[in-house]
Amino acid sequence: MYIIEARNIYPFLNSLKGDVYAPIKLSDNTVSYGLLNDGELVLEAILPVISPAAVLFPQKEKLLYFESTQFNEITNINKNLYLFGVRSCDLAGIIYTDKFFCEHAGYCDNYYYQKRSNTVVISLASDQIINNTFKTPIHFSYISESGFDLQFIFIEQKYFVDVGTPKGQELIDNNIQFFNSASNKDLEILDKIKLTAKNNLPSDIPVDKAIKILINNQDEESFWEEISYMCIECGGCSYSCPTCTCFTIYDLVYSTENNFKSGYRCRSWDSCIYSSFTRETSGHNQRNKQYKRIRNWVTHKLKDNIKTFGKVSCSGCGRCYSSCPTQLGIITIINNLVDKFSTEGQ
Amino acid sequence: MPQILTTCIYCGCGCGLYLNVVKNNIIGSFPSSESEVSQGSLCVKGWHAHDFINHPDRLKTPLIRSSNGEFRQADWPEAINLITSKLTQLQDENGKDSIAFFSSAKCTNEENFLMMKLARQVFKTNNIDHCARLCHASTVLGLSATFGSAAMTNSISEFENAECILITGSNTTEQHPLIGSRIIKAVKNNNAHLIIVDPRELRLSKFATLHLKQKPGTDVAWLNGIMHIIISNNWHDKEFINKRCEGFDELKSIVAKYTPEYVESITGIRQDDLVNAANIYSKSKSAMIVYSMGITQHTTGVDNVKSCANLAMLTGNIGKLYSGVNPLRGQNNVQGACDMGALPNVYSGYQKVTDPDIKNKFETKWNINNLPSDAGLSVTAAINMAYSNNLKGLYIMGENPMVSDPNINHVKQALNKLEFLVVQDIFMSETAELADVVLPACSFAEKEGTFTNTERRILKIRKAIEPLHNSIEDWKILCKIAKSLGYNWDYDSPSEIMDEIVELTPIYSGVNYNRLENDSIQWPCTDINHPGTKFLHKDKFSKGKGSFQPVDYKLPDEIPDNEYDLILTTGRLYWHFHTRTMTSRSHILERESPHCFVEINYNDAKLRNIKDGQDVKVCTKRGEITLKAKVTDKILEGILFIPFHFVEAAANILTNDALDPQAEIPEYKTCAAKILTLT
Repeated sequence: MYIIEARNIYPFLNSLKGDVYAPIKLSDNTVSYGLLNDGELVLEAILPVISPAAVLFPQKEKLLYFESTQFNEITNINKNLYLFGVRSCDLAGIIYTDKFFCEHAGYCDNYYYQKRSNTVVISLASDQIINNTFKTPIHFSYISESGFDLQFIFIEQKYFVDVGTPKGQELIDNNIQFFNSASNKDLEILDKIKLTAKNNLPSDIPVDKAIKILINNQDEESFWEEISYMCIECGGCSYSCPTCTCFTIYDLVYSTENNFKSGYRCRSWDSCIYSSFTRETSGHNQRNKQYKRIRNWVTHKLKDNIKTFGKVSCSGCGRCYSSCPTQLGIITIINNLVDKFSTEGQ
Repeated sequence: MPQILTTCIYCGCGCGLYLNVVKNNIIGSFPSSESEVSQGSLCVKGWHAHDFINHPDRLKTPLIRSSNGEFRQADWPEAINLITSKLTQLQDENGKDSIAFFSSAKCTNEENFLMMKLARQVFKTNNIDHCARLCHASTVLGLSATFGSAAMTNSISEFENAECILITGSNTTEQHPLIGSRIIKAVKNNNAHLIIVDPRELRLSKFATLHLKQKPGTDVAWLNGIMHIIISNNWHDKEFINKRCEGFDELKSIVAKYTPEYVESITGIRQDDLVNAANIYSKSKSAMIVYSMGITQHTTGVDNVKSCANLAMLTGNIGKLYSGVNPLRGQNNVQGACDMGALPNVYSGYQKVTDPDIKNKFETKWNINNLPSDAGLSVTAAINMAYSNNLKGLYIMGENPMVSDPNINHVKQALNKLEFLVVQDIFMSETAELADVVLPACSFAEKEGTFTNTERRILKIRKAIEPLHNSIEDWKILCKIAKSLGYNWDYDSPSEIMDEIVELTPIYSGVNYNRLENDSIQWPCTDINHPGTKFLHKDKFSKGKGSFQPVDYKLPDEIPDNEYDLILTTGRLYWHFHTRTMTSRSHILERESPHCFVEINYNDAKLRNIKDGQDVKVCTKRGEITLKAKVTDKILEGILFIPFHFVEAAANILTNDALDPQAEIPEYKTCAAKILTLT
């Protein structure tokens, strides 16, 4: 068990060999997730507007370079990646995307896996409330129990360091000058903070009740129709969600003078909120109305994924709410759903 | 992986977004949480604002048309020399006003300022205009005549607190999504009354207290009708009128005949709906009028705008928080392009070219003594002059009239008659294909500068990547041209250009790049300590007393007859922007809406045996296009709607190029058409 002083965090991160990503403050004070030295390191309990998952699964990514009938896969250089400052909800997100990209249906997505296998996750926790975050079945405390290589937990001016994996231990061993051993007193404080971190995570969003309503098919079409009017189809809920994994594939083609073609096959984030996501070539669309698409977005996370992965896939980060132009997002939807259909008392 | 703060390139909202850069490639965009406009959100176009930047179709090098009619690659010095020698030769042979310049609402303030300076200082012509002619020229005249200032009177942040919002001729969630979302929140969270007057069912209709569906081209009639009801019920704000306005008696006498019965006979709006709308609008403590192209793009565009202004003054809903008249500007910098004087009759800050003192001020600063003193040609007039062989050369920066202008067949003939056409753009647009020289410019991600959004807010854009291929920033291209003609344009940066703008433009007086680095400023901003202006006309109108400018209803230029038996109106889609040069190169935006269509009412379709999804032909006196029918109940009987973005079935082949006599804006919003099934 180790301790790192707050003042040592930046020097520690800066000494790491590879790409170090962290929550950073950008030029207008927007907190983003990016390379350590592209902004001021943020240790406060603020969620970056984009989740750390965007490093492993970027908005736009080149997959292949092709020339005529030949193609080469674009591989990621074997480079160490450090994801620092991953908050509990985003760590729950990474646990999910790991499963989705690397284990799901017996297929491993090489583009994700290449990066992920070279990644060290150093999560960051405290007992402070983070705006719009809430408790869900995969997110039950601001301090995580597993999924990290190292977890830094804020305890009075310094950070307790929780080692999650041998990879994490190795990182400490190689940088031992930044770390001290934890004292018994530190451990006592940690126990208290673990409790408050759990209690402080807001549990007032009735996720469990919403799940029950969906599983029991108590929701009605008219409810979704009504709520869908609020949606302006920006796709921001998907793009900011740490567990939205859908992408589309397309080619960027360069034509040369003699019509010899070369180019890149790319993938980019996609969203089931868009009507063309399910539109077929014939024009038929099984989710031809906005309400069907919103219902899908929500039920996929809160119900369908229980079947697929055994767990829901909403990690309670609240980004779909904060990035929504009309503040819809899963928070408003869950609240309204339970208001309308719950047979249990609040 | 730097993340660079900038301003969205698409609509006039001016949302704050970051570009995510990896090795001179932009791989994503995401919202700034601190933007006063967008507050941590973006619309679908904002989330994809990065997508077209690194597209393979970007113009890579200057192109010159060879004698065989094909383009050949050229280097910059050759292209610049050809342009300067050819333009000066045309002027020598045919006079200074034989060439014209189209500036760009997509380019920065600094670039627009330089384009207008190039036309005036270097080429000595006031033939400078841009696409504001086609969208809000009628606003400029209509609001100047009534209020004295032609911009959105209020701020985007005020919508959420308005008690009543009257939207007409704006599909706000589609064309200004982050204003549309504020309006949704005003209704949902603050119980605002939303009144929509539009011939089509809109996304916002679900939130409307009232949706009045008027026949296109009848706006003066229903606006006069609402004013008639207000005056006859004594609901007008007498104190405000007495203290702050002039011309009320004339207004009263002109609107007197617009009884609800009479208005219904012209517009099709039910009488009790009109009374309800008048009641809600006039009795609300605060009321915002929102309008856009549905009001301005008519031969009576100026009349329509004046009528909106009359209504606001009649009820005292102007000059205070949450109350005003809000023309939503369509392009990211169409407000700025107007502010910069990319207009044929004014310098920057709407200072008239015909005013000798103003001319003298610019001559002194620019060190010359022969600025032209007569107003120049508008975009629409320039095309007509080209058609009649009276305009010989045209330099177009970042505009695509071959899709955006009315009666495209006429535009094409006009452009083909030019002796010399220069197009400066980022893609090979339909207009660039007709050019003699094509110059590759930089996208918004490759340059510094400012945009002024629809609420008069001056916002920085920042360079995220180096210019791609052999492209050059628009402002640097313009400098090269001026310099090659011996003018001392040695600007090191857009910041220096802004300093010159500020010196010459009173409404921008308090602006500089240091201030803009940390903050955005809403003009008027008259000195360095001035905080900027949230809403206009507080205590008194820009022109002193507000002038009622009552007008009578006039018929549109073209009305249905036996052959062309339907009204065609045009508009836009959420997924696309303007002539689609950028959005068609954004995979998801294009996938979402890849084809053009014509909306037709069920009953009209049934009568003509047209089925949903069927290919049909739509014809007007000017041309015909083939596209798919979209059979719907969202549009009134007797009306067809076509989005204008698609070159493959360009609505503007059909539209009428009849102009508003004062504003010279074309009547895109109504003409007579017929629809035929393909045999």
